Parts: sequence; structure tokens; C-alpha cells
Amino acid sequence: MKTLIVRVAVLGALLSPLAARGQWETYRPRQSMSIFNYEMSAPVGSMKDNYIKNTSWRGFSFENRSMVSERFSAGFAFGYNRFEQTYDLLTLDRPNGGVISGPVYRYTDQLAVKALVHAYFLDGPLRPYVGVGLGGVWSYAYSQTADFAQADDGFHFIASPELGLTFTAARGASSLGLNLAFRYNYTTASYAKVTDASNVAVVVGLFGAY
Amino acid sequence: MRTQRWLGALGAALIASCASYGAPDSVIFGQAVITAPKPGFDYKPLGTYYLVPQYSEPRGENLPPTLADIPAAVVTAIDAAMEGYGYTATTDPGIGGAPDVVLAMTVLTGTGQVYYPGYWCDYYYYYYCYYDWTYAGSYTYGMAVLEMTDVRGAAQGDAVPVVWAGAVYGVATTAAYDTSRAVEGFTRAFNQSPYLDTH
Repeated sequence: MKTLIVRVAVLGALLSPLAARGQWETYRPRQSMSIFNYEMSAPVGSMKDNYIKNTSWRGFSFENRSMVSERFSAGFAFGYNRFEQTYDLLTLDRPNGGVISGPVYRYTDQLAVKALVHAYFLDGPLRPYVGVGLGGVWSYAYSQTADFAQADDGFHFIASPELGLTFTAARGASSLGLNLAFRYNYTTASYAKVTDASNVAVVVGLFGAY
Repeated sequence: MRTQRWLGALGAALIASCASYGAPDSVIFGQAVITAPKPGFDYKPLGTYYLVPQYSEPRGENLPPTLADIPAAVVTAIDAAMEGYGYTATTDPGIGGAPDVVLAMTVLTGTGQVYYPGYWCDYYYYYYCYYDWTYAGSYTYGMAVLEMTDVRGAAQGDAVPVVWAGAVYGVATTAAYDTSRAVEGFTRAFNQSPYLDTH
């Protein structure tokens, strides 16, 4: 009898690390996810009405998300977007009936640092998610006509709710896949006649998870 | 294969996003036009004008301004715009009665400097490297200001009020090109001042 108890105890001791490893493996594929995104952003609101209408094709972001539970992740992100437009002739009213007109070149850079929270809905290769990023954005706005230039910069608040989908193309100890998201970037950046330089973005990225 | 197409599209978008930064020549060598009316002034009763055929260019304190003829193309553009608004030109303010308004042009020029940024390493300071701006050259900019003064009832020596001003500003290039830009600029100045219409 004593021999049997000892054998069970030894077997249990040997199996317990395997059992622990088995639990860890449940989280392993998505424990940490690094994403590099390309972003296409369209200005909205006062930024579109009063400063730049063109879609930005110059946007990038890097995200790192860590699964804090099976359905939720927390992380951080850095993002950069440049909005740019040249007006052949822009006419602006001045006080007392005055008018100024001319060709104008404008651009705006936005460099954001955000904390992220995401919730995921399904298991499997396709995982829809919703999330939000909150943080700060450094904004620089530049306008030039002839050799006259005016610039404005500042650090402002940014909130970025998003709806997305990850597609895991290769799964193993490490995973690779694609990220697709639609994001609304609200900022409090204000310059010229812009009160809140905001945009909507289509985000396409590659991720690696381990 | 599908994945490769995705990556190819992403690569093409990244390359496209690296296009050159900076204002295009059409902006740098374009002209800004500024117009300003006299608030509350009634232009409807006006009928005749006289365009001073020479422009003046100040040369600084204690020096008389330089006088030169306004290019014919610019005169033609101003005359066409004024006649379009219902004004009649008078060839000389002293003959055939005084005009209602006088148009006079002043040209202001200046010199700007161009600097470009760079990262420099100095041999004499043990290759100490620093970021600095370096002088790259200069350019001339100019502004032609056309002022309309109300001379009705004014006597010799009276101060006359400016009732409209239009200014064309730009970076100087060649004389011929600057003249064509002045024509375009003053045409735009009148077009953006519809209140001058006397009809």
C-alpha cells in the first residue's frame, strides 16, 4: 500500500508541470501581438471643411497588444499620419469685406502615442474585435503661399475607437496574420479654423503573435 | 499567391507614400492677392477714374522714389476691369474735368534668404557633429499695391481717402513672367471686389 501511495505521489509530481504547461499553452498563441499597420485616413469635421480635404496615404502605426485574459488585451501604440493638400487657388474672406486669395500648400503631421484596450469575440483564424486607444498626439500644421509660411504645433488629446478583424494565416508556437480595422481618430488639436483635427482611417497591417 | 498580392499592394502603397514633401513651384511662384474696401463706402455714384501711368518704388528714407512706367499689359488689364465695372477712364485729371477716383500703383521689393538644414561634423573639433542651417542664397520678392483714392471735391494739397486697395505679392522671377503674373493678379484683385461695380 505504501508503495502504491509513493508511486502515485511521484507520478503526480512528475505530471504537475505538464499540467501547468498545458494551461499556459491555452494563452500562448496570442499572449503578445505586435502589429505594423499602414493607414489611409480621411479628414472629417472642421479639418475637412476648413483645412485639408485630401485623404492621407501616408500613415503608419505600430501596436503591441498583450492578452490579459482570453478575450481582452491591453497595450500601446505609436502612430503617424501626414495630411497634405495643394490648392491652386484658395479664396478667404477677411474682416471688413477684405479678401485674400492665392495658391496654398498645407500639410498636417500627427504623431500619436496611445494606450490600447481591445475585446475579441470569436476563436479561430478570424477574430473580430472592438477597441479604443487613448493618449496624446503631437500635431504640426503648416500653410504656405508664395514664400509666406505659417506653422502651428501643440500636444493634444486623442481618442481612437476602432472596429477590426485579425486573420491568423499561420498558427504555431508563433502566429502570423493580417489586421484590418476601421478607426475614428478624434483629437483636440486646433489651428487656423480647425477646432478638432479628426479623421477616419482604414488600417491594414501585419501581425506576429507569440 | 494571394498573400503575395496583398504584400505587393502594401509595398506599392508604402512606396507611393514616400513622395516628395514641400510646396510645389505653383505655390512658391504663385501670387497672393489681397483686397480691401473702405468699410461702408458707396461705390455706386462713382463714374470716372484716372490711372497714374507710372508706378513709384520707395528707396528708403531721404531718397526720392523711383518712377517707371506701368507695363502696358498691366494697364490694359486694369482698364478692362474698371470699364467692366462701369467706370470711364480720363486721360488726364486736368483736362475734361477731374476724375472721381485716382488709381496709383506702388511697388515694394525686398530680399529674402534661403537656408537649408543639415548635420555637420567639424574636423577641427574632433569631428564634433551638430545640426545647423546653412545659407543657400537669396531671392527677391515684390508687392505691387494699387490704391484707389476718392478725389471728388478735393482741392490741391488735400489729403484724399483711400477707398480701395489691391495688392499682388509674389517671389520675383523674370520681368516678362512677373508682368504676366501682375496681369493675372490685378485681374483677380478686381474679380474678388465685386462691390466696385457701379452698374
